[in-house]
This record gives sequence, structure tokens and C-alpha cells, in this order.
Amino acid sequence: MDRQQKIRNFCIIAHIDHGKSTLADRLIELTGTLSKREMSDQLLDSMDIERERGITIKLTPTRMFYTYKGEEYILNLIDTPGHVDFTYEVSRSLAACEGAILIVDASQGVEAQTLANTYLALDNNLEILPVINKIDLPSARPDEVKEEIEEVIGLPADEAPLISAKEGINIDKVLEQIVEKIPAPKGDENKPLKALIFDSYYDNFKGAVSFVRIFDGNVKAGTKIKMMETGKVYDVTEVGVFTPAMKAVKSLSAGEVGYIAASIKNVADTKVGDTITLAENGAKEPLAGYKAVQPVVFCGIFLTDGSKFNDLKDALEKLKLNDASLVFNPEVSQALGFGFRCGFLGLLHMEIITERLEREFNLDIITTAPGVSYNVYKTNGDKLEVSNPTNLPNPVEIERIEEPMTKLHIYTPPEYVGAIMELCKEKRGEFLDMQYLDKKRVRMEYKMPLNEMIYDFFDGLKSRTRGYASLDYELIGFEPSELIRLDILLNGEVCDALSLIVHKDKAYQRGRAIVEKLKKVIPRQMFEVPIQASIGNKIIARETVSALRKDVLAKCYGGDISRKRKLLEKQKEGKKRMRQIGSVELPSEAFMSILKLDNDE
Amino acid sequence: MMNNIGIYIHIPFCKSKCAYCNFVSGKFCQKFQKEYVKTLIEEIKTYKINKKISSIFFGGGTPSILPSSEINKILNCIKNNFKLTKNVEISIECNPNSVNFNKLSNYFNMGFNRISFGVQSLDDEVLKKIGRVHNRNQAIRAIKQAKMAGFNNINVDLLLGIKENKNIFKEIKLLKSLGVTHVSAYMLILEKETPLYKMVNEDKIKLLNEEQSIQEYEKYLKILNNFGFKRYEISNFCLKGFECKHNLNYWQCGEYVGFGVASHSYLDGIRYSNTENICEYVNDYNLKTYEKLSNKEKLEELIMLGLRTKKGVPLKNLLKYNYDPLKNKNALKMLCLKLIKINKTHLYITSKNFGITNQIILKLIED
Repeated sequence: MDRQQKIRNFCIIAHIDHGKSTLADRLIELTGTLSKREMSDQLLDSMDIERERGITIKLTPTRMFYTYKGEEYILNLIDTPGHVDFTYEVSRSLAACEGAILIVDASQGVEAQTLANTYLALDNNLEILPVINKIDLPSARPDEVKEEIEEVIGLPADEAPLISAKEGINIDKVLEQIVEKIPAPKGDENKPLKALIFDSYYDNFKGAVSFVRIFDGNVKAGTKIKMMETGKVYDVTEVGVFTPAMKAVKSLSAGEVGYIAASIKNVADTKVGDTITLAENGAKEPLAGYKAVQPVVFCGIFLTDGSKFNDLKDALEKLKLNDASLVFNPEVSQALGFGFRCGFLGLLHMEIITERLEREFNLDIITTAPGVSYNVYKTNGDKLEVSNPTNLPNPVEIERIEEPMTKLHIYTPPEYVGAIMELCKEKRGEFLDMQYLDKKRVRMEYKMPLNEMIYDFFDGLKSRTRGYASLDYELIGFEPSELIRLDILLNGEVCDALSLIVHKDKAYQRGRAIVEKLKKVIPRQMFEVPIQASIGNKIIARETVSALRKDVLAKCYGGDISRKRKLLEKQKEGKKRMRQIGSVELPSEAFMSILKLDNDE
Repeated sequence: MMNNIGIYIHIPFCKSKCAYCNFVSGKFCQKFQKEYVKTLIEEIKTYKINKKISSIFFGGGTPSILPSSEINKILNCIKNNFKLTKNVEISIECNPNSVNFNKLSNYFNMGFNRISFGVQSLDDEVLKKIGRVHNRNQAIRAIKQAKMAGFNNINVDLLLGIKENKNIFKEIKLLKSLGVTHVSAYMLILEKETPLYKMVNEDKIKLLNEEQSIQEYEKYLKILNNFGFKRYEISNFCLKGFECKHNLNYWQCGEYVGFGVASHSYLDGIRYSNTENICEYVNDYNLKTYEKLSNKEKLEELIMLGLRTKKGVPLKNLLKYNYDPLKNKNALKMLCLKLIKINKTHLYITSKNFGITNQIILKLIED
């Protein structure tokens, strides 16, 4: 019997909270890959942040052995991240599989992400096995959910196992179906090597390690390999599999999932989506679907304690080792001192990086409002790429500005079409197309400036459609736009870290919203502080933080001076988190808070 | 004065816990209260010091919840164990509904010469809101009875910032006519983990906002002043000559010894804190933590506490720690802005700017 017949490569797709990680844990446990004792809960989400937020950012593959009808099978589980920022990474993970388990919550039914991910899986020609989870809950309604899966997604759900990953009910049925229904890989061992990189990470000893799915041929230590995108050539030092810990093996052959280490110094040379082949007589064509991942969201990252600049630099470099999509360049702000302008895949990616900087590297950071990169054409013929509003040239020197545009695909139940149209209009969206996929699903297409999309669009969409709409977007190039710089003045002085590039028609509205928001977050000071928004020299909005007058007029109690002291220490600490901008003290949060404008309205 | 010390006695018992309180206090059965007093007396008895006592303060909790005989035992123990100055000030905090004429007479006869009532408000609606167990009439009666029992130095605590008070003038007039000589008017601080905090967060209770509280406080300032109650400390007001010695000692960074659970002592630059756990305390009153203050900390406390008083902080004390306001950048800035002032002997905050005391202090001690 062919070796590949005994391999099943699959992933699990689900809406957030439908139990993806829990099911993965049960599968690992039931196949005896790890004993109960060895497992910390939700094994595959290895970062603290992932566990806390219940989302998976980084993929951790696992190889399991499962005996079915007397035959031993190798099951390779490739976990997927579940956020639109990482759509490309998801699509590469899916491309490495032949099948996907689709988890649907037995009480909540089909939700936005379910649909978006299913479409992604279908695009990659995967066999999809619906599974209905959480049947132990009293609110479970498995029959209705089955119908929903058939109607909304159009997948037969008759045989969908009814499981509870938490309680370990019917997990064996899932394993059986994986073997029965997911096709075995059909690679050709005799063709030249073709391996898809679906993830990579940096190891202090092994260098950049590629996580791969071998489609054709085989690879072992000593093989000379070539990255088809970059053309770079390396000697393989080690190949191995995931148990889920990394374990070296002699070779990896067509159909298998594993890792390749080749003393590569930089993860940027192990690009997700790239194809690895042989250095000599390699494959002619790479595997389809490679895209270079470009950062789309930019923000400034500074420190509350400016003297730790080098710590920030080291921290970013360390994160970059493992995250090729993170880019950063030094930047100086009058208000915030030395820092970096960083580029990210999206807002979530940005939040994760900033949180890791604070948590893993113990840095107190200040981030400026995120923005995008604009193409600025000057009257003297120069072209600039501007992602920091401060660098926008004087209006008289600008011939035109172009902003990055996106095409959005929104899937939604019909009842939210109106709400979505309204939201898209607010965000300068241009309607392109709308299609009724069936009675319950509509696909809408919009063109929208990326700048608008990153400002809370995703959250706005979720809240206005009660989480039912799902979003996918692609960048479609640059278009001219009437953009201007909006400055914020504190006590009469421009604070460069608060400047924004906005569309001319939205400047007043945004300026007003920002000064109102700042009034809320800036604590009263010893004197009155005017907050103003301006375009050029024209003030378009003003608020005032009145002077502070009430302090702790408290009773002192029983000689408990230490209680007072602690209070004082706390205030001292609070002061440390403040940035002195001219004569005004600004809390670190102020810089980010102007972002969350839309949530309050 | 500097060589004399104050004694603080903590009685952590209350009939019920007020909604805004986060001090170490609570409801306990009488048997446990007796046990506590026994430990307290033990702690006092074993304490030896060669300094004279210029003030004794029974605070809480509600000291008046104990039978007078127990209070007498504690006070006698202090008298037997320490030397008191001739003019020693002996105060006790009382809840208006836990006293009667007999009790108050007893206090007076055993040697108390100052009494402090936790009146908080003369508005029954406010009292109910904040979970006090007494009402307006009980408060008025208690003050009258204290006066009859012989007390000439009576303080009332007033809590502001809960509800607009339209009768400030009438109330202060009434309090003065009843014989009140000292008013402690402080603003409600919403402490986390108190029931009031929760209620406010859940919108079940609406308090005055910052602007309203300040306006209210300013009204009080004016009216108290008109009735002869002079502000000698940020939240304390008194008729001439009725300053509270015990509290002044704190503001002047004087030395003091505290007995009882969660009490603090300050001697020779070292701060001692008793355990905050009452069961632990009863088991072993010697569970103290020590903290030796550095010169920097001493200076910070000198400023932090001294600036609370109208008189301010003595320049010579500041110079002792090499702090010269005329050479400090921030101090100079604030002197220019007239937020603080200097006379021959003291650095002080003008009454008008008491509202930003903390900010001024932080500026003064900034590194």
C-alpha cells in the first residue's frame, strides 16, 4: 500500500469561540500524542496573549498517530489563525491541507467567520467535514444547526458528528471521518522537490526554520535547496516533524508535513507562501498563490522613558526575527522623542506587537494613531512615501496625494445590508456590487480607502451586524484623494504625535471628535488647558480642560501616614506615565485614545 | 512640643460598616471585643518610653461602641504607664447613636477633654445613602448631651460631595449654637471595593460631580469662616484656640505611638505598622512591620504633611534636609505663579490653592 495513503493533512476552521483549540487538544489527547499530564490547556496557542484573547496568531502544527481498522495513520493537524489581518497566512495553511474540519457551535449556529473561512477552504479545494460542537450545552439545537449548515453554507451535514470537545464526547467519530473522508495526499516522490512554506519561526540554534508541506519529491539533511521566490540557496541541516515538539527525522517525502532547517539567518528569507525546491534540477513552476506580505498599517512607537531607546530597538529586532511582516524605522518626534515608525499587517497585528513589547519586554510604550502610507507627488516632480503625518510637505509644495485603496468583500445576512451601506458611506466607501448568494447570504463589494478601513471599520461592521457579517479585503493600488493634515494644539503648541492625515471632507468632524475625546482623557492640570484642532493656521475646533481645584481633602486617619504616602507614590507613578508636552501633562493613553472615537458615538 | 508624643488607640468596631469606608473596622461580637481590649491593654502595658504624652486619641471604628468601663481600663492603663503633660488633650471619636448622657459623663469624668462626633451630615437622606446608622436628631441630641456632660471642645466630622446642601448656613449656625468648636469637613473619596463605589458604578447612586463638589466646598469655606471657624488645615476648621493638638502633631511630623490593630507609630525616623488583620493582632500584637525612612522620604513627608496646614512647613526643617525652595526650579516657578508663598519662617500654600495641594506637593518633590 502506498505510503501516502496513510497520511491525512487537515486543519480546523471555526468562528471565534466555537471551540477550535479545545477540539485540537482532545484530538491530541485521544490519539495518545501527549498524555493528559503533559498537556497544558489549549496546547497549540503557545503565546500568553493567544491564550488570553482566545485567538490563535501563530500556527503550531502537530503530527498524530491513529489506528483505524487495524491500520496506523499519520494525521497532521495544521492550526490556523482566525483574524482578517492574517487571511493570507490562513490561506497558506489551508493550501497545505487536503481537508478541513469545520466546527459550528451547536447553540450559536453558523456565524461570520465560519462562512469566510469555509469559502477560503473551498477556494483551496479542501474536503470539508462539518462538526457540531458543544452539544452538552442545554441550549444546543443540533438539528437546526445542521439545517443551517446545509442551507447557508451549502454543505451536506447529515453525517456531521455531534460532539462536545470540552467533555470529550464523540471525538473518535471525528477521527474516523478524518481518515474516511479526507483524501490522502497525491504527491509524486520521484519529481523534484516542491515544498510549500506555510509558516516559519526563528530558533536560536537552528536559525530560521520553515514549516513545510512537501508536495512532490523529498528532502533530507544535506540536500541543497533553493527558495523559488528569492532564488537563495541553502544546505539543509535538519528536517523533522512536530510531535508537537520538533523532532528530527531522516527525511521528509511527498505528502508529509514537517520542518526544514538550513542555517538561514533571517525569517525574511523563509517567506510564507514560497516554494522550496532543489538547487539543481529543481521544479520549473512554484506552487500557486505566493504573495509578498506588505505592511499596511503604520504607527509610531515611543517610550515613556526615553532613555530606554536601545531596549526598544532590541525588542523590535527580537520580534522581527520571528515575524517577517513587521517593519520598523527610527523616527523622531518633538513631543515623544526617539522611537520607531512601525508597519503591520493590520490593527490586530499592531495590538499584538505593542502588547508583546509591554509584556514580554517590560517596556512602557506610547503608540501614535495608526495610519497608512501615502504617495505624495510634489510640484518639483519628487515623489515621497509618507506614513508619518509630520512628514507631509507644505500644501503649496504638493501637486497631488494618492492614498491606498482596498476592495472589500462583505458577506452578510440580508437584514443588515442597510446598516452596512450606511457604515460604508460614512467610511468613504464606493459601492461596487451586491449579490444574493441565497436567501440568507448577500455578498457586497465596496471600494474603500485603506485609511478609513483601519479606523474601526472591522469593529463597526461587527457591532452593526451583531457579528454576522464577515469581511475580507484586498489592496487594489493607489488613487488620488484630497487629503490634508489635521494638527492638534495643546495650550497653543502643536503636538506632532497627535497629527493625522485625513480627507478634507472629514477634517471638521474628526477634529471636533478628537478634541472632545482629549478633553475626556487629559486630566485637569494646575492651569486651564485649551485643546484645539487646526488645519494649517485655521482653528476648527476647541475645548478646554478647566484647572484642577479639588484634591484629596481627606481625613488623615490614625497616624496612617503610610497610607497617604502610598497615595502620593501612586500619583508619582501616574506622573511618570505622563508625557510632558510643552507645559501640559498628557497620559500615554491619550495618543491611542483618539483612535477609538467611533466606539463612543 | 517636638519632644512630646501623641498616642493613638484604634478601636476597630462598628455597629455596621458605612458604605464608603475602607478602614480597618467592622462588626464583631462582644466576646471578641473584650478579647481585643485585653490584647490592647497588654500592648500598652509592655510599651516603655521616656517621653511625655501631649495628646491621646481614641479613634476607630467607633470607640464609643465599647462599654465605658472598657474605655476606662484602657485610659487608666495609659495613665499608669506613661507620663502625661499638664495640658494633655484626650479625645474620643463617637458615633451619635452609640452614646447617651451617662456614657458621655463617664468619658468626661475619666479625663477625656475633647470629643469628636461622626455626624457626617444633618440630612437624613444623605445619612441613609451612605449607610450611617444614626439620624439628624440623634446627632443633635448627642452634641447637646456632650455639652451638658461638661465637654467644651467638641468636633463634628462632615462629609461633603454626596448631595447638594441648601442649608449650610442654617446647619453651621445650629452646630455653633450647640457648642461645636471644631469642624472637620472633608470630601467623600470613592474608595474601590466599598459598597458605595459599586453602587455609584452601577448608577444606583448619583453623587455630586467634581465641579459641584468644589462649589459646595467653597460655600462651606465661606460660611464656616463667617461663623469664626478658621481653616488651620486643609480640611480642619476651629474656633480660636481649639486646634486639635493630636492632628497637628501628625502634620508637623511629630512622633507618636499607636496601639491596636492597623495602628502606626513614628519614632526616631522609623515607622512601625501593626498588622491589619484583627485575628492576627489578638494572637500576637507584636506582629509589626518597620520602615526606616530615608532622608528623602522624611523630606517628602515634611512637605506633604506640612503643606496641609495653613502655617505651612518650617523653612528651617526644610533646610535640615538641604531643601531650599529658593534654589529649587519647580518651587521658584510656583512662587512666581503665586501658588505657594514664603514668609520669614514658613513655606505655605495660599488658602485659595489648597485645592491643588497634591499637585503642588508632587511638583515640589519631583526629582
